[in-house]
Amino acid sequence: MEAKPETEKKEKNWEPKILAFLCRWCSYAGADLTGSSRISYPANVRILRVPCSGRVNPLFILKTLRSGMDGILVSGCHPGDCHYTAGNYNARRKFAILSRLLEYVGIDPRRVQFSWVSASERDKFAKVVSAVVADVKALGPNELFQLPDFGQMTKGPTSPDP
Amino acid sequence: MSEIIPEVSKDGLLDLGKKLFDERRVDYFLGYKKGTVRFKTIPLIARKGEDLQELWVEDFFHANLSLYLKEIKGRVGILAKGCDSRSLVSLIKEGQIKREDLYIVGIPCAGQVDPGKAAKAASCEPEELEEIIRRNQEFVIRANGQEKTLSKTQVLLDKCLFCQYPRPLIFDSLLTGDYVAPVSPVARAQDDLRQKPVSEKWAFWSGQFERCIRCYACRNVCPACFCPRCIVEENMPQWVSPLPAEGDNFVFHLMRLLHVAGTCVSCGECQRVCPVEIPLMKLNEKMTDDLRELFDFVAGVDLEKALPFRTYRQEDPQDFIR
Amino acid sequence: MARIGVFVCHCGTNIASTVDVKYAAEEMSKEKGVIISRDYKYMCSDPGQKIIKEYIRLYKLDRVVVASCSPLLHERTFQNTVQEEGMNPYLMEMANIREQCSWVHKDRAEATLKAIELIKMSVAKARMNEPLFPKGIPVERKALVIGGGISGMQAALDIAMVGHPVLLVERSPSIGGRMAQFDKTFPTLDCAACILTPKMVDVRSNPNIRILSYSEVESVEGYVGNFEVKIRKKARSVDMSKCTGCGECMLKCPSRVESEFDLGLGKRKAIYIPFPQAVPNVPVIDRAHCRYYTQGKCKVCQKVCPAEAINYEQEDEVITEKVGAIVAATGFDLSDPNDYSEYGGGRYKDVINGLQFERMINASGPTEGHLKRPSDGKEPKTIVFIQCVGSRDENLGRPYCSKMCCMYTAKHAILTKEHIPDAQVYVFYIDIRAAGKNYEEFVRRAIEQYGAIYLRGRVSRIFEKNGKLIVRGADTLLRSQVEIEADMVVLATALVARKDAVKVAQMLGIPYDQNQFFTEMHPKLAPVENVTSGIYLTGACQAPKDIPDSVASASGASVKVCALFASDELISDPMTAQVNPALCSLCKTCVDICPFRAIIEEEVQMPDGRVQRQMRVIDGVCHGCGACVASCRPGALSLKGYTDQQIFAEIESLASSF
Repeated sequence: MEAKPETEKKEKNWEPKILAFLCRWCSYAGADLTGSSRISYPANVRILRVPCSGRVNPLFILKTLRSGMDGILVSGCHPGDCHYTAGNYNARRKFAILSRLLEYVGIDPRRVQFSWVSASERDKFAKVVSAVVADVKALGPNELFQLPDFGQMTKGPTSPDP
Repeated sequence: MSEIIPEVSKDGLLDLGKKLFDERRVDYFLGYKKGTVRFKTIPLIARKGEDLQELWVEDFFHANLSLYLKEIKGRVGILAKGCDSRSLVSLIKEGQIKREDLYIVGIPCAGQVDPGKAAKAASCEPEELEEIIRRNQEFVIRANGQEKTLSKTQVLLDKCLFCQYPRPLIFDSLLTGDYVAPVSPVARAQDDLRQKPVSEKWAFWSGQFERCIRCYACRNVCPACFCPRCIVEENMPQWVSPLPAEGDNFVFHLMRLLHVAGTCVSCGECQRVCPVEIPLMKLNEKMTDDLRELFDFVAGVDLEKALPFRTYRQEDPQDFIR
Repeated sequence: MARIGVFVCHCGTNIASTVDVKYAAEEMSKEKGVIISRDYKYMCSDPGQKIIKEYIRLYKLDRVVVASCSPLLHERTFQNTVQEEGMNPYLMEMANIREQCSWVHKDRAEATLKAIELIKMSVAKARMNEPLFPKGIPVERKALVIGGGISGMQAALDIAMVGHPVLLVERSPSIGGRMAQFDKTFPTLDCAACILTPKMVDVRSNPNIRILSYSEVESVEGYVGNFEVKIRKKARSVDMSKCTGCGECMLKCPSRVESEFDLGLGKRKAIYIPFPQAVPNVPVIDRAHCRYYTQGKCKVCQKVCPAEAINYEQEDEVITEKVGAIVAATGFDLSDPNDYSEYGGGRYKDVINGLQFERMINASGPTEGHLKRPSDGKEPKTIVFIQCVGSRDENLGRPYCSKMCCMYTAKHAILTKEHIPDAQVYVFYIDIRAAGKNYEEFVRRAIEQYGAIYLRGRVSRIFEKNGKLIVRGADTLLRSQVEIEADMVVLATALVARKDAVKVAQMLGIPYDQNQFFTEMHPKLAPVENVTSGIYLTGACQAPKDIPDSVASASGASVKVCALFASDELISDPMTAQVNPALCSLCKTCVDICPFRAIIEEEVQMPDGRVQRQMRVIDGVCHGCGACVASCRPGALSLKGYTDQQIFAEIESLASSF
């Protein structure tokens, strides 16, 4: 099978990598609807499905930053719409404090963003992703956690095989 | 409204402690004993009445004894300053101890002396300090045969200067003594860093965390860190590398901060024990202020109010959410 | 080491036109643990599924990653595919490279790179996947219905009809509820008793229903299928097994007390049944007013009772019952008349509320069906009805509409005219809300056939003058002030939650709204369910509801109960949280966070004999949201299917692809 490496042009201009944690019921379904409506948005975002925004441990965000991702989006159901009634309310408290503490230690809040996107808000999802990508692009690469340290040994996959 | 405060004099404390053992009301008594270094005490863990002979009840109650309740199970008599009593309230709310298992002897604290700071103010070495005498809001320091009068801002630990809760919030008896002086808290100095641009904040904390050796003293001394096994030491999965790389140090300190949010009462022990003198209280205070602003929550002052990350309000702030 | 097969779908050209699927498949074959990676035109088609199955067999695969459309669309499909080949369905992962990649990006290089990374994430997660198995939890096929009003009775009857035993707990001495107080029902004007009492008899005679009247639920422990409830049977002072219901005791009892059932318009005895058709037809002694209990002597009832059923020594009895499901049918209260002092509520005797009017016009009521002014017993000729008293009132903190006042006021207008043909009826209203089968027609009839005068506007004040009530208000349609000299005023007071609604809600784990009405799981799609599994809602405890709505919701709740009881085991989704007790600090944050009350503390005997306290997640109750897991500081909780390991693997897979 001949396949040409089409990924080369990536190296030319730096493009931010964004990881998006989307709740299964609202935002993930919203992202699906954005797709079936063929509304395009920047390709910088990688989506990770979680059952609920309440599942997102603030430490996931630290872990993601430490792993070198340039930006993070966490998106869940609008207040009152949570499939599990209160997951997004609990999450909102955690994100509120995390957001402020990250800022205080010098991590621009635009790098870690939050949104409510319902299963029907296809335009909003595309807009949110575009906005986050633009913000992170303006901030530049996440060099915060790539300062000289003990090198790759602390950065690669750490979870052993089952 | 008048309330009867069961007072106990410092001489009476020994008798009270013995009585608690005799009546089998406690299995342990936590107090202070004289340390090997002058002006410093070390914790006393008494298992029986006789152990109390070593009890030191003069001054210098630095350690937050609630820390030892992690290890000591059973009914415990404990000395507690204002800040320590807030730790006790937090621990009760976190289900780690039961109020009925405690006999709390409150210390109406007038601020704790920082010998290093006092020595600096008296322009001498800490070893040269001979005597530190409280005189109301002032201190008389004797060193090298000379006497100097210093203000409390020159002698007390920084955290004590703006302490809002010097009087214990929960107690069974209250200690009386000549070190008990009225305290007038001064307003906490504005943390200038908070106004600085985010890049300067990064530069500042970078410089701090770079020095962290990951000895975990801050965590080990913290009464709010009570998990049987800290998540930092988990390796399935590994939340943060154990090596003191700067990036991982950042993650570690943020993890610590997030995990004590709502339980931390700014007792300052973490900063006091840090061997590389990272200003951890700056982080704690920022977090404390944020909790108050965001959720109207102050840790350790109310046994009834739900901890901030166990509840929510529909109208919680969400201006940061798109 | 995992043996992973990756299957990349073209979806015709849906994916393949933007993503270089062949290149993606080839790239994936380089990933750790990937034994085989290939592409195919339609993975979900029969031949596509066949390929997956063949490869599982051929390459002894133990993990499968399908890169295709959204898992919301085809997760079930591919889970079944691998399951048919003997693989646990939870070992299959999907990568969404259509909705979230090929359909939203135009640049082939970008889309291909992204697709590869998305598949890598799924491969990394799949490596961490573990087989999961649904669990069965036993179900006690017996229901508890709290509240013996029309809603509770209907629910009990429906559940009993299917053959399941039902406990019907009612706190007053008789079942029947609010409906027993009504005279006639809108919009048909058939008498409430005529349709209610046969139902009460049905309940009483149904062998599957056990009525516990004059009883209250004290505590509820446990979870879906396995509730343990404590019910306090208050002392009746009358032996139910002996009493024949002859009523002799009530005739001879010397104490006369204001009747709650007649809302203070009539009297009852200290030993009483609330109304003649009461079920059970066994009186209770109101100890607060009985001469024997208050003064120590009397015992007239005991003397006259031919069945020797009076037992002054009877004590409250607390019984414990195990039930699998609970239906809350606790009903409503009426707002306090003192809330509207401008209308003389609670001050002027001739200002009454709608329910008092019902009692007055009822043939078995305190005035034997004659409309009389409570002050002087004279027949009122001019009656003013005021709607929305205390409802739709932001100032009182009650912005909601009480829903049935428009209808019962129209009914009262008609009934007034039928009782007193020369009476004049005025109705002050804000809007007429008559959306219901034959409702609008009914209101028109009140206006057109019975000549009720409807005035759109609010009443500002009512005061007494020369034995009349002067009603001063505005007619906003004519833009004029109105003053009516009325003989009687009837207030359509707001329907409010029961005074102890919050207590009941907390006991049952039911959320409640700002008006203290119980909140359903979903306002549209799960209107009788509750976040706490196994607990269902019906009737006016949720919001003001009229009789048809209450009955319909009761039948709805019953179906849910019967569906739960369809099997003696409840099969639970395996993607639930679980606790590792070795890491748990027992801080119980999880208990506070869980909206479903799925986490409990229990004592566990350790192998060395010690008893240790541990937290446990109840599988059938956990919905798998993971909020507890994200709140667990030591990481003692994990969510099967979305473990920290799995999520970390996904994050790290991205990091390593830099």
